[in-house]
Amino acid sequence: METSSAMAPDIQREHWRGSVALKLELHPDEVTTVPPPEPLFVLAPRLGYLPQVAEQALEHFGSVLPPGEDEVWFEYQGVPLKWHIPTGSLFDLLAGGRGGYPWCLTVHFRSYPRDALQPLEGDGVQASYFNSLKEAAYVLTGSSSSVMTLTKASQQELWQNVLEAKDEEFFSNLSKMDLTRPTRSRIPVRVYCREKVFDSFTGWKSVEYASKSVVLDSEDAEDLTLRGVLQRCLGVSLDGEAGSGREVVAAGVELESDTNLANVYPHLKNADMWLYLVVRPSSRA
Amino acid sequence: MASSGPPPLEVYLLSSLRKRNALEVDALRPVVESYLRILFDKTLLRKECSQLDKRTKALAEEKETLKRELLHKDENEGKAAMAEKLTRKNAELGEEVLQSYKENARIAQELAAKVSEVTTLREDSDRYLTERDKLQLTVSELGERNKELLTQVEEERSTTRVLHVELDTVSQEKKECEQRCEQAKAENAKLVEVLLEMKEKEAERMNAANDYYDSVVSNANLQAARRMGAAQSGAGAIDGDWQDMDASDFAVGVPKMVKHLLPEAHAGACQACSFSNKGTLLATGGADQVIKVWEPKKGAASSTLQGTLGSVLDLEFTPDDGFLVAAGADGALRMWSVDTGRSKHTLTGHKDKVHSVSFGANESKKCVSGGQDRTIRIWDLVKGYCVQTIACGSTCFSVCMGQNGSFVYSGHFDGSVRVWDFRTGSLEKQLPSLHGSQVSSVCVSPVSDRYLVSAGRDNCVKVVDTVTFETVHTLESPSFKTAGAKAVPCISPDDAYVACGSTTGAVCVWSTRTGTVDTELKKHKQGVLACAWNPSAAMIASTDQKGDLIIWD
Repeated sequence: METSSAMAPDIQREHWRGSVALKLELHPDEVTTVPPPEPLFVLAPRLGYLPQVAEQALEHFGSVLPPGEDEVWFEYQGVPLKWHIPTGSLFDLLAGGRGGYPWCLTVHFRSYPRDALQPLEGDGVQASYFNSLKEAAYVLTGSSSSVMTLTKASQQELWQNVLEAKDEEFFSNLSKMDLTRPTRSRIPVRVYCREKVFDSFTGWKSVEYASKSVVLDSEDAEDLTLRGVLQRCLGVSLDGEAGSGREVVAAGVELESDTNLANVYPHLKNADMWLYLVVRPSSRA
Repeated sequence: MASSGPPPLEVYLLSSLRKRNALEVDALRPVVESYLRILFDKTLLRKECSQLDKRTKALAEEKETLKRELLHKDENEGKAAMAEKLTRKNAELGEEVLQSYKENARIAQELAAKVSEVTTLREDSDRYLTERDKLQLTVSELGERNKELLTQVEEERSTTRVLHVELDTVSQEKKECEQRCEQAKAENAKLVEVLLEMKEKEAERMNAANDYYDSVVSNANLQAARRMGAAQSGAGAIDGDWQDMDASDFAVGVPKMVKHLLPEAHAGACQACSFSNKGTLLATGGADQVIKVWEPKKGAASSTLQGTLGSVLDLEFTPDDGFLVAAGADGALRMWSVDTGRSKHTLTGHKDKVHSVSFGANESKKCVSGGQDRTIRIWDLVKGYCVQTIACGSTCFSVCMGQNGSFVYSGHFDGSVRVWDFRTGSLEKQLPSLHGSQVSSVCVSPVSDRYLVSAGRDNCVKVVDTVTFETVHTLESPSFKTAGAKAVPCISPDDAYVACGSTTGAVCVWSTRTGTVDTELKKHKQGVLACAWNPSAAMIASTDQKGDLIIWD
């Protein structure tokens, strides 16, 4: 099943090079100066996470903030964004397909919505990333020990590679962990499915989510297609009238319903070794 | 599939990724980057702007100051033009002024000449004026002097007038005095005559007295011879005169035997011992600051009185035997009830040791004490304070009150015995240098008041008649030595014997009739300090330096 074609490195480079342009505006409640500060334009790596631009935002907006402790969070269409989903997948799920460039987000530094979001403390993003990587390692190798036994220093190195989107260094570091050669013929897949418009009324209730380990050695090749996997995971059908109103996107690339995921996985897996699939209402409709 | 080139999926993926990146990344990266650069530049420019603002402010201030300076300058220039015109006018005027000056000068010279004349005249007049003022002043001064002198003369005249008057009176007095003097001379002559007559009469009387005295002496010799004869006959009776004089009814002899020997009745020296007036109790006090009351017949202690803060130097029962008063080296007298042993008074007032205390025969409410502080004090024992203080001039070692309560006898450091009126506190009689050394103790006859007995440190005891104050006997003995120690004598109730302890340890008993030693009681191992005679029995108590108490019977 391993495909080591000549195009693989190019695909990998292009995949990792992907970024989402963000236009960050400070929420009016937290503006203490007249006139309000200029918005901030940044490029956030698709495989990274939103909080990684927090430092830059704080530098830009810090001077106008009211007194208090800085706890950064982002809001889109009046809904707080979950920071543990990779930026690219978030963009694809919530805003992609509608051609809104750059992605306009509101940034907050005060009144963290503790009831809606998981608290973000210290290096919480890094911890979340390694947790996800651990799960992937278990699906791929049957054991998460390769991640658990990482030293603090190599953890830091790997995380820096993710933040800076340096694919070559990342994979050379990762190769030491025997994660690239799976021992079990399974792949980890995460599916986010949005049926409706994402706004402050629907919010995250409109998004369905599933994590799945897909067995590659299935006799039925149909099981490995996108259609089959989605059917099994979330009961989402891509056929018929319902299917025509949906599109499936991975890493910003629209996939056909009969695409074999076993072939897609090696190219479009994220930094945490998960393949993120986004199902959203079709932009063509 | 591998031979037919790259799989279509990969081609699709690559192309779509490239498309995606071209749209999302490559198109927007320059925008974002340039935006960030512009932001950065903006902040820089903002900083520069603020600096420039500051500079413009500074420059504006400078400009302001320059403007102000410029205004000043303009004003100055305007003034300068005016000044030029004025100087020109000034010059013209100056010339006019010069001419006028010249005229002025001429006039001035003339004026000056006249002025100088005037000034000389004025100076002269001033000088005259000042001289006149001076003269006026001197005239007024002289006038005042004159007035003063006139008043002085007036005063002196008046005084001389007074003196004249006085002189007249004095001369009159003088005349009167001369007259009186003559009268007195005449009286004197008369009195001398009277005196001569009286002296003659006196001489006659003296002669008669001498004759009488001779006859009395011969009678006395005869009587003495008769008495001697009676003594030799062995009757041992006391003659009628003696019996009349001795008012006591007690049958008293001299104790010879030790009745009780109480070794170390006190720890240390025992300086004071006294019988109660009924003779039933004996009290002793010593250096151990304790007073013990004994029953002399049993020879047993009946009670112990405590409370003194120094050695007990003297003690005595009140005449009614109800209380006991002790004099202490702590400068206080203390009074206890004999029955209960409870302290009634602490009599303070002496500034130093109290050496002695004494009562009269019937006066239980007052006592007398003598002390190191050269005072004799009389105390009211009901109220508990000193009612009289007699300054006696010399340290008083011993006081004793006469039985009739009218006299106080005191023995002193200077060897004299003094007699005081108990009521007035005045010195009645002084026996100067009765002893050659300190008088350590005095006592009087317990009943009859007949004899005053004093013990000195000159190794003798003197028996003095209390009526004539003549020394009846000087009692001495080879074994009687008191030098360097206190000796307290005692008299038997019938006045027949005097006992006194000696530093040799002997208690000598003399007969007051013959003045010779009657008995010597030798049992003490140390010097005897005090002894007391039982007022109702032939019993002597004696105490010594070791604290031993011996009761003789």
